[in-house]
Amino acid sequence: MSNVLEVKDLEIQFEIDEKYYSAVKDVSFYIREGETLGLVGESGCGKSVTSLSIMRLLQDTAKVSGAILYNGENLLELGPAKMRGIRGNEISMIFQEPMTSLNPVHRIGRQIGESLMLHKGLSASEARLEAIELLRKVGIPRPDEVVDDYPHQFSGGMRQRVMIAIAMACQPKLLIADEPTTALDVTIQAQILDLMRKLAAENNMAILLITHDLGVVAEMCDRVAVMYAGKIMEQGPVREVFRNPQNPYTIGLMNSIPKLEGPRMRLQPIEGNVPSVRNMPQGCRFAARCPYVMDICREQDPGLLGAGPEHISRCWLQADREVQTQ
Amino acid sequence: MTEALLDVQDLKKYFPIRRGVLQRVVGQVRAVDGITFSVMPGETLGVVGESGCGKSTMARTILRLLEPTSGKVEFEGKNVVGLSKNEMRAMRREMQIVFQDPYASLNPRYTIGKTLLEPMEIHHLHTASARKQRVADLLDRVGLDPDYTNRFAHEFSGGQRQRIGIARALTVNPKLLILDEPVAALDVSVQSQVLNLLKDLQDDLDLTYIFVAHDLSVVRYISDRVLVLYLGHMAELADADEVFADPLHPYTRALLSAVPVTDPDQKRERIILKGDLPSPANPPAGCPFHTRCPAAMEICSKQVPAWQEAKPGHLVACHLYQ
Amino acid sequence: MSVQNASAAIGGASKSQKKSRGALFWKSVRKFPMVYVGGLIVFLLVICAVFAPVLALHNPITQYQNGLHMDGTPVGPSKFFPFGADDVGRDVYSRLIYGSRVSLIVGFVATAISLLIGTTLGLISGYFGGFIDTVIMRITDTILAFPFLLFALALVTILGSSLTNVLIAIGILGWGVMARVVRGQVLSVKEFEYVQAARALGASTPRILFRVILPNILGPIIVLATLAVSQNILVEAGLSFLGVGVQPPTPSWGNMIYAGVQDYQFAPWLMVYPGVALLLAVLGFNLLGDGLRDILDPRNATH
Repeated sequence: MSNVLEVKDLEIQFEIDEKYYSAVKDVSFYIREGETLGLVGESGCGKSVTSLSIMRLLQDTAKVSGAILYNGENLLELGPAKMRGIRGNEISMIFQEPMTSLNPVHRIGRQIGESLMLHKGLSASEARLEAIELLRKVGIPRPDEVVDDYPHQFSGGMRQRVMIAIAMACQPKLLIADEPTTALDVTIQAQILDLMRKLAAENNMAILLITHDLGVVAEMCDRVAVMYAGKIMEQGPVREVFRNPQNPYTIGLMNSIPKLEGPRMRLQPIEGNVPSVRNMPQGCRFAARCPYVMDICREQDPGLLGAGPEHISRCWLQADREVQTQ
Repeated sequence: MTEALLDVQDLKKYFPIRRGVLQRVVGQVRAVDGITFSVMPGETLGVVGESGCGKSTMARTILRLLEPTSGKVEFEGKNVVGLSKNEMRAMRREMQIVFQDPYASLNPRYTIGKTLLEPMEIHHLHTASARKQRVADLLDRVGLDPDYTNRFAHEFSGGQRQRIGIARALTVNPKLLILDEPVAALDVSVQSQVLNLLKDLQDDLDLTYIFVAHDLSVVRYISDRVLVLYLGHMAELADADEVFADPLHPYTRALLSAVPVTDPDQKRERIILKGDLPSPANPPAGCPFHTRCPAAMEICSKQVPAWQEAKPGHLVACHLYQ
Repeated sequence: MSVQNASAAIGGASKSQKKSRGALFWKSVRKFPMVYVGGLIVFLLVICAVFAPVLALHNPITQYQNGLHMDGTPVGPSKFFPFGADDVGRDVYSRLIYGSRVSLIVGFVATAISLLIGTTLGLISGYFGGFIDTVIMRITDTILAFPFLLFALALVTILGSSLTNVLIAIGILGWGVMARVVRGQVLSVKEFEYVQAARALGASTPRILFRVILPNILGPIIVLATLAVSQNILVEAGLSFLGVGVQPPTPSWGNMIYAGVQDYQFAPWLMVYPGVALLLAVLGFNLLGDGLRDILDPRNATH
């Protein structure tokens, strides 16, 4: 299977008080056709910024370097017109807030049909019919009636379905979903995740799922990349990473979540706070909070090291393990 | 048997819907519609439900931040509803609240010192120097540096702010703490820090908690007993282990099955509910859950199920068990 | 998550680095240079008013014989009278300096009166809501529906022309907008959980209104007050121009312009100098107010 998206050595810098700071650094990952990759991490780890940079939706003051290859073509080098042809057509995006990502003054039929008229050259009446069909696909009851409704007439879950309908309109190869269910209740979240899984399978669509919820990753993704303070700490197949986490940060995250089953043990939080972008530690970015920290961790970044088939971890402990297995 | 610390009986809170120039009342939102429970000293009662189930309104109504429409709230045998202004002010020393949003719950114009001193000034507690000492002690108790007193709220991270919010609630030495989604806005690693802090504080200070949340695994971790709400009504109430091991109400079952778990191999039977929450302004007749219930029977749309014991200590409102 | 949110998340991390409110304020002042110009004009105006006896060359009400030509017309700008003399031989420059006192007193005191009324009513209206809110807002609407200048004119006519009465008239008619804005701010701030927390801790209503809510809405109030000062200076000038304001011989820019209008063909300086002074004063306060609005707007805040 070929890669739909390949991100290589991505670095994103923002200006704060006339100085540039890296919010994201050394980020590399790929997504195969029809595959779901989870990008997981706490707030401020750079996962949302990464997704926006793929769509080239960051403000002009952000400096982006590295390569973002979509079907072999570097998106960072495309002109504005070509990029517009990709957005909403080849790559679509859905956001966290279904309340604010729909335009309140337009009927939803028009909002769904817009990209069809833009990218596929459909007429207004064709687009309307297609919009009704899409609404049916995302499970909205009475689609031929609600197509003329306004966003405020929908509940949060229904709005997220509308957002998905808009994103699916042009049958994109890649869907970027940025915390698509964070604002929703669990029973509604289950509906939306179910829908996304079904649509992805039907259309052989790849998904880049950005979330802070490890449970959502476990249920939805084939592979996962764990981010911390702007870098990928661990990456691999979901089962591998969840069953056999290698990086102390991933392990820490797992231990700090209360479980629904089993004995109720005291949680083991990760002590301390995320470092600020302004003063990132020189060595491993997790060193200050890591229970296994060694002298070398504070001086030098270990880089990503192999931990199994397709499984990599950014940790000096991995270096020792590698030596042992050789 | 020990006396209940808090006894809530048939609590209701309706919000009027007003329309038109004359602001006539055209309907009512039944946010909390007949809730009865009691909380024993030293225990943690978890209250779960999805948005719109009335859990936050219930919390605020117990504290009379919202005036209840009807019902009783007895704290140590004394009905809080109907207390005069001065009696209520004294009562507020006994019951405190911690809010969800660590950004909105601290006054941006106050230093942390002032935030913690103000409650003691209001209630004329301690001498000036003893107050300062208490501020330092409280900060230390919630895991913050006592030197932070001169800083403003915006200088702190979400988790640190939530610690300050907890310290503020503790300034007046309350017996009961109502925690309204205290960790919902925090990152997972910070969330566990705050949960552990709450557990330690409960042990050290003999606190009683009402813990309101939408996250079931968090509620399971912290609660002794769990109350499940749906659309302003009680669905189920039992010991935490019992609720999670043997949920009886179809809504509780659906809720539990909908939570994504971190084990990729665990294949659970998933109940996906159809449709959305009905509007509390126009609740369905009969059982409020019957419109979405996979086990709905004919009687469910006609008759409100009674609140009764299905197993010892396990209360549920569902026709399946009557 | 939007682009702004993304950058806010990054900015948010930097916030933990200690920086005082004052330093942030001056940093944003640099981004809006017009506020300097406004501030400078206002500052000079205050200097004029405070040091009028030092800055004036002559007594503003002394009528000088050499201020008039043989035919009784006023002399133009000269060494002795830098801005010329008026129709009875008084020094226009010195009158202008002293006139700034009237403008500033009216500007500040009348604004303070309407601020006191407007803020109190706005706080009560917004916080309590319901019936009280409806009553206060209907009264506010009524006040706002009055033609301001006309009613001030009527009021001063009834009370009698004097500086004090001008102050009272402008003050008690000008609070409408203040009450509206304050009420709107209160409506949004009172929903914040720190207000709820104060209630849960047993804080009294006055404490919540004046110590919790008020400090959090001071920004917009300061902006509004600054803009009101310039408006009130204009109204005073208008009243004095119409002859019901400050009474001659006490100099006010309004009555100076009035006196100048009659002779503008052969002595234009009588009207031009007070006119320019008025223009500058109003411009100064407006620039300051607009600038403060930009600086205090959180969307423009520098992290």
